[in-house]
Amino acid sequence: MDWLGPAVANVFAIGNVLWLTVAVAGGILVGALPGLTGTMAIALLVPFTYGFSPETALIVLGGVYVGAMYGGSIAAILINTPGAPAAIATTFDGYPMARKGEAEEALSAAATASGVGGLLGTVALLFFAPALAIVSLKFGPPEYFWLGILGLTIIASLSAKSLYKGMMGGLFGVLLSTIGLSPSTGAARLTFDITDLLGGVDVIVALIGLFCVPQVLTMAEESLERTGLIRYRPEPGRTRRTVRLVLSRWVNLLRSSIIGVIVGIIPGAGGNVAGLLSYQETLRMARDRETYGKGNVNGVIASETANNAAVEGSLVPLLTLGIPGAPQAAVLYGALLLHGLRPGAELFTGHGAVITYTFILSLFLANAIMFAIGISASRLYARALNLPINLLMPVVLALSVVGAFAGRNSAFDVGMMLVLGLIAFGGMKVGLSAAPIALGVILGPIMERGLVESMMLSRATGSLLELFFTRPLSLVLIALTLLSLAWPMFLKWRQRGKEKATDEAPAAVYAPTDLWLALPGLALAGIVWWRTSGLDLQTAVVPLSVSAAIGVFSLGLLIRAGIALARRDAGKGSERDGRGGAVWVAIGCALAYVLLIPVLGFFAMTFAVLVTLGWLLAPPEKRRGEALRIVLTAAAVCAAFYGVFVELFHVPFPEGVLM
Amino acid sequence: MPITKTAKTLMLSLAATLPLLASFPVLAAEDFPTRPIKFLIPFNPGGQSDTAVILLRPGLEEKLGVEIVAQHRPGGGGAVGWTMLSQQKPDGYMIGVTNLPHIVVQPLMTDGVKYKTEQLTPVYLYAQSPGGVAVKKDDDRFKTLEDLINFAKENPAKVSIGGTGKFTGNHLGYLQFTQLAGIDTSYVSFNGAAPQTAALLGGHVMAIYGGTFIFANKREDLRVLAVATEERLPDFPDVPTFKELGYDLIGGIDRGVTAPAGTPPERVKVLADALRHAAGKTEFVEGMEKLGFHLVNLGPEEYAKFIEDRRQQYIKVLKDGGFLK
Repeated sequence: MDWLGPAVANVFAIGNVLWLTVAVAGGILVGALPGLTGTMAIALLVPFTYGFSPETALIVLGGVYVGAMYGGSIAAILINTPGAPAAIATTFDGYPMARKGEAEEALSAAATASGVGGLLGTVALLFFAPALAIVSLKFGPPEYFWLGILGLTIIASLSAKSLYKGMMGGLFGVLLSTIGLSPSTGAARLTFDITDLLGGVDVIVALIGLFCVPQVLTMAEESLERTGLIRYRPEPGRTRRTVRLVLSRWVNLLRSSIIGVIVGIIPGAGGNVAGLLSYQETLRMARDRETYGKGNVNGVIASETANNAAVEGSLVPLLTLGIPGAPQAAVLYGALLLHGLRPGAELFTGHGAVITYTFILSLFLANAIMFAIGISASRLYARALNLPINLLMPVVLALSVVGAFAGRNSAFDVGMMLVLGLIAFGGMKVGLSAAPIALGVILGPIMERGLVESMMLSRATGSLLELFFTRPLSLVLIALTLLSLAWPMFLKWRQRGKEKATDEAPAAVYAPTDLWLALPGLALAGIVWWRTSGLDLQTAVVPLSVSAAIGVFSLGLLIRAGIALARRDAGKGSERDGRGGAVWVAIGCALAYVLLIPVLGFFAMTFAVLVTLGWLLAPPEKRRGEALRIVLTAAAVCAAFYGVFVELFHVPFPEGVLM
Repeated sequence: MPITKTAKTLMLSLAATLPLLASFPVLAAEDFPTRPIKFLIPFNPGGQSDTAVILLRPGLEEKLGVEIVAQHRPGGGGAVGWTMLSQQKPDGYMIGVTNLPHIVVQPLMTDGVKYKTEQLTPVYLYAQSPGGVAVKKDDDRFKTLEDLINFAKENPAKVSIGGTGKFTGNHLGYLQFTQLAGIDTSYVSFNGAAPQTAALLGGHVMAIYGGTFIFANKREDLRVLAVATEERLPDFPDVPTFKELGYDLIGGIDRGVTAPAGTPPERVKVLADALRHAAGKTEFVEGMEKLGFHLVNLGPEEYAKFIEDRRQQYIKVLKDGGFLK
């Protein structure tokens, strides 16, 4: 324990506290911007911290990690787009809360939950690291497979309205994740001879496309109805009440922290899976299930507590074994080595211990600072909702473009983002929501890797079935999976018993939208089958089985639609309400934006799009009066983008003839 | 007057010959480079290639006098970035981090890879990450490489060996090792060094074929049985090389820099000289050694020959393994 005194002194050294505050604030900003992730920020900071003492370097990098994890929730709540993959489950209830006018509550709940999750995670890291490291090693290929499957069963809970469509969405997501080189066999799949597709669909690009683009288009639809997105009225005391409320939900906080830490320590899972599984468990335990997904604060608490607890979880195998538990931790590993620190026993004895415990203890402070910034700024962030749509919507569109580009500096990714966005928007209209697709994209690779690695391993062990069904941890995961699947059905069955009389009518109103889903589904299944059936089994097993499943589901939908049509009680087509115009304008602008960037340059196009959409989406009678404001906003946004993305992040935007 | 004239002529002729004496580098350096040079990294920020570029950059900028702009273009295990590099204008203003065996094996083995090895001109080879075989430290079955080989001979297919990916440096090393030893084992391909090591420590696989730099940072938990180097590694003085044990296996991942084919040789030379300067700086050497890299310095011609040697080696391994006809 001789490390205690020096470590505490290090953490509270004035310079370190200042650096940590800047790091946490910067992390929050990075996390809040869709497309910029904590991993990127940490990677860019590593060379910068090379000249620091190891203690200060780790404090700064840890602060960014913690801040970015919470920052992801801000975009999730305000614009229904996870600022980082880990905030995906935060959108489920955070955004509906904002729509109800409870943005401030959602934001301060996220800050509080993140803070508590982070603190409990740090406690686990401080006291149980060696034991937890042993648990993390228990996860082998079969367990990864079951973990992926368990995660995917959340779709059953999320898609209470139509399990069919939820499953279709999830399968589509898994299929997206298989594009590119197989992680296990290195062979190319579904790349259609396009070089950029060898790299597959980036998760960040997919998330921006699936969540941000439909949101932008929905904003355009709503622009004619009202000028602000959601009315938010600041009232004193809302934040304080929320903090108290969140702290009173200690069972949820504790459960979500434990799930977060455990998922965090598994190399290859991380915050996104942690948030999802914790949401799932909270939903299962809930008595008021039907209010989830409609703005239940418990959903936000579950997701945010777990993803911040996963931060510290991912550091457990890193510090004890030198095995990073998450991409962010992998970058931290490089930083440790550059500072001459070797994970393992060296980090827990002698001077190494002082550095390590300085780092661990600084996480307490980082979480406290994050909480303080979070709750004091909640009201400020919430005000963003009061911005007029004609200004806000093009900014979100521009952020989507930047975010999709910045991850891999790829113009192709921007196009991919837009295509996925249009698919998601179209899917939304026929009852296919973005969340299951995103789950497929995130969990598909974990499941696939587990499956193919197990197939390879089974050559040595003799039996694949034995691998999958006899290992204790696998059995636990299987039990949880079955429970996840059976529980919603059980509830539905119980519900049905109670309300038999009222539950018959809506059964057949699906027909027109079903057709819109079934026909592309069949086509997709056919194309995938055609392109992958000639590949070797380990490369093709997941795309083939997924396309077969999509085919079966599509046929099912087709039959259901046929029956409904035959009974002539098909639902009416979506009523025309005259809102279509603005959407087409927005789609046109987005397409022109993406296509013309390489020609005219990023900043020229961004300015043009901000002004054009700002003008077109403003109520006609107000346009003239607002012209100056629109142009000034566009200029200010471009300047801010330049500062953040070019100066700070060195994003090499395509330069066209203008700029 | 005549004396002055003679002196003048002498001075003039001296002035004329001086640059000639100093020869081409000076001439080339005068017109190249004049603007920033892009340094392509076909992997994510924070990875090993990225770190190497970060450490090379100060020395390069010092020597070349222009800014070096790192540009990441990850995807497809580097294939997306190398395709892009191969399609750039060959004017020396774009260079890229390039790994072996990747740039030889990808065009051979992966459908849809559009670049060819010859489309990348070798500039400089700066580091190697040798491969090796390791087991868990407390696994008493395998104290030596012979133990592992004998066990595998008695139990065909029963020995599971974890690697990273297929047709990667580790996989080729694994193939070569098992071919030379004449054993049938089961290869399990993990998605990177972290899950690979975790799988070994968790007892999910019996051994791993991986980078020795990974082993160096986990020596408390691992027992390294052999390394694929010419001589024993300073990090592992007690660990024999495959060669000592009678298996002619030397290899790993070789990290260098290339430019698009067609880049003028004098510009390649300027770049290679700058890289030699940068790779000799203390910060680079110390940083890279802390990360477990094995430093080498090969200029354009040597690097080209090196690639050719390795290519023969890879093709033989792939043919013997039945992957190539």
